[in-house]
Amino acid sequence: MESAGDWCLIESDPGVFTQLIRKFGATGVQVEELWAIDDGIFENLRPVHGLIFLFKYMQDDEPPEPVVCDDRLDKIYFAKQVINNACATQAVISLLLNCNHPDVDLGPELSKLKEFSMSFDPKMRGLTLSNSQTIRTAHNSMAQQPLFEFDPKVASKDDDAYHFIGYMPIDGRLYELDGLRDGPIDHGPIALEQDWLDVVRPIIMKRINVYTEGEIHFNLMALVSDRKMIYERQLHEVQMLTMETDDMENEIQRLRMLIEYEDVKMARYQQEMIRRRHNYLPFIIMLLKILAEEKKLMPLLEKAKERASKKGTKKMKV
Amino acid sequence: MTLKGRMVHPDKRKGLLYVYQGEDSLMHFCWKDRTTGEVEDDLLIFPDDCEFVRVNECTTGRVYVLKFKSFSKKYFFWMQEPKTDKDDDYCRRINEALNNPPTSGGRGGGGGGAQDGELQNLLNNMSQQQLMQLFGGVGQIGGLSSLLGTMGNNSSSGTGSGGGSGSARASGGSGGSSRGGSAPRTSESTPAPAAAAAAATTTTPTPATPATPATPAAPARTTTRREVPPAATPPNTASATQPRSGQIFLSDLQRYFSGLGNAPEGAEGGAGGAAGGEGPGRVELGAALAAPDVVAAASEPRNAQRLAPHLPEPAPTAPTAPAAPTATQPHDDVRTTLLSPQFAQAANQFSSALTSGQMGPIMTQFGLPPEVASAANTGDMQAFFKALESTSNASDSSKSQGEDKKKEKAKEDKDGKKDGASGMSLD
Repeated sequence: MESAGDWCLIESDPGVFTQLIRKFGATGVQVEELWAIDDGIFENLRPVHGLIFLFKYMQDDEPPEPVVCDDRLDKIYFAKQVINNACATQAVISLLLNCNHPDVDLGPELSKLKEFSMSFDPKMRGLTLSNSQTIRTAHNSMAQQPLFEFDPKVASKDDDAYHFIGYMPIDGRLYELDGLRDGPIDHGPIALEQDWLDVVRPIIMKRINVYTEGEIHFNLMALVSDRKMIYERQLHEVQMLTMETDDMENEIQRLRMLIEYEDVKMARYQQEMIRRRHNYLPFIIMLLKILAEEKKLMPLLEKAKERASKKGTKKMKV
Repeated sequence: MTLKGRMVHPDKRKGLLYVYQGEDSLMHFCWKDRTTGEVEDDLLIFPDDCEFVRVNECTTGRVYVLKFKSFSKKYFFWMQEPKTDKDDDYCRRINEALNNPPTSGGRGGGGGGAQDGELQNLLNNMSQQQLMQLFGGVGQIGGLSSLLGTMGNNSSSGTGSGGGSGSARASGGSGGSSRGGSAPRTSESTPAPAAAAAAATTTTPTPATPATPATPAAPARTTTRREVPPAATPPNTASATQPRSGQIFLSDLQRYFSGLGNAPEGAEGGAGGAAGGEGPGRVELGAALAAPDVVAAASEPRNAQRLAPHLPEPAPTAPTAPAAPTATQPHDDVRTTLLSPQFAQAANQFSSALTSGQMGPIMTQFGLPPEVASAANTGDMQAFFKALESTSNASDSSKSQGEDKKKEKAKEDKDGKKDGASGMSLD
């Protein structure tokens, strides 16, 4: 997929997504990356409002399940993707706009957007999203600063196209929201006492299994309630109890640690964002100057060449 | 510039004016604040509805106005290109792009996906040169804006105009770019060229352009544009003794970018080959600069000290911090920077830019000697490194020697103290 208009390519990273959501003005939610899709993995993350799945896009796969085109479209916010590079943002927004959980507060900007475009058809909704200044600005502020801009032809040809889609339960059924389809894909009902994550798991597994073994071009992220908020709520509840026991002490300790962990994580996200947006050119030049003074440049180049030729021959063998 | 009553007043923010064709085939006319990266104006333009013309009544600056036939709103722009020779050309190309948008695939056909595919096919089948011809200066300008954005200001632009290929896809547009090399405050120390002196030294609005007489009905909000005073332009600062690293001049960049299209893989491979002997792979600096000996050398206190000003800023203290006062604010030092993936990416970009043989002007901007710049222009990394090493005594060692001396002195002091201390303990 090529970049389009002035939407930048953004990294698929839970920090980027979490900050993106905050920039939209939504609160009470964050994004966590999942490294496996076993049963236990969601335990510490519940409630999970939706999943974002990134995969290598293959042109030929047909939707296995029926595409919704009846009046459910009035209730499900589905937007067709009309611009490239925005699929991550679009997947996140689609999940958010369909999320009715009390933890999640969309904030004025997204609420307005939803209200404004709810009556549109999917294509018009997509256009509305792509023309939203707030969304685009937020999206673009997540991108890495390019030191230089090159003609696209210089970029490696085997750049794969990736695509993000969302999964979430809406009104008792599991839907797949893929901006490149004509509508939401209905994956069937979720039984009343059934956890929707149990329904979605085999579907994602099946998708992953389509790819040849050894391919790791997937990324699964979960849209979850703000963890710190949840822990603070739990802490509050525990502290409300008047009796003090050792168990309670331990629980308070545990929650405090988790809250601290979240704080550290957010600080790290921020730091990473600063790095992404930092202009490293002056640093590089100064570093090269220093290395030149210490006569370390030539040996460095020799090593880099060695590495490059190794890489090159390896590539040629494959 | 802002229209107040019947006068137009300048808005001094640095900006970039550009035109692109959206996926919907409509032309967009945009103004972006280059400091914040925010696109403040994004106007949808319908063919034959508007006109972009020079305001001849204004004699104190080069002011352009965008006028519409269907409504009376006007947008004023203050051109800041250092040279005037391309003005007419930019103006003509903007008009052309706006009023004769390139037909892509089947404009008006409505079918989104298929249409994009067609356009993409069309583009993919064109040679590099055809593309360059077709899109004129777009690539240059786009790249330019993003580079200027990053150079001038670290906090800088949010848009960066779409990871590279944006230039090709944003078809047909041409940009009258505008610029200001340094922020207004530098003008105090810089003697402004006579013509621009008035605009520069008076920080408040100056060039009283008679606003177009036809606009009495125009709403007061006919906001328009803004530039840095022309005083802050290249010639002065270029000759200044200490080129500030944040400054890059338009002419250099134009030279830099104009060659980009002609130096695709072939040339690069050649250069890489020349540099790397027979190595088929491209030499990338990302990994090389993260090697342990580089990290060790760079982390030596006196070197780290010189690198420190160029490190990413520490994160602003999180407002949510009180719960965890013990959590130390992460801060990038030289070591973490060298090992970070973001730095590696920047270093790799740097190496590809270097091997494309167009980094010379930028080296000059960073105050490196001409030998280094000309070596950089060859695109041969080995030659570039050699030049850096051989000139490093001449150029930088005075400074670093000074630093060394200071360091040595400090060390002596320290040693002296130590001696004293040990002497005392001996006593």
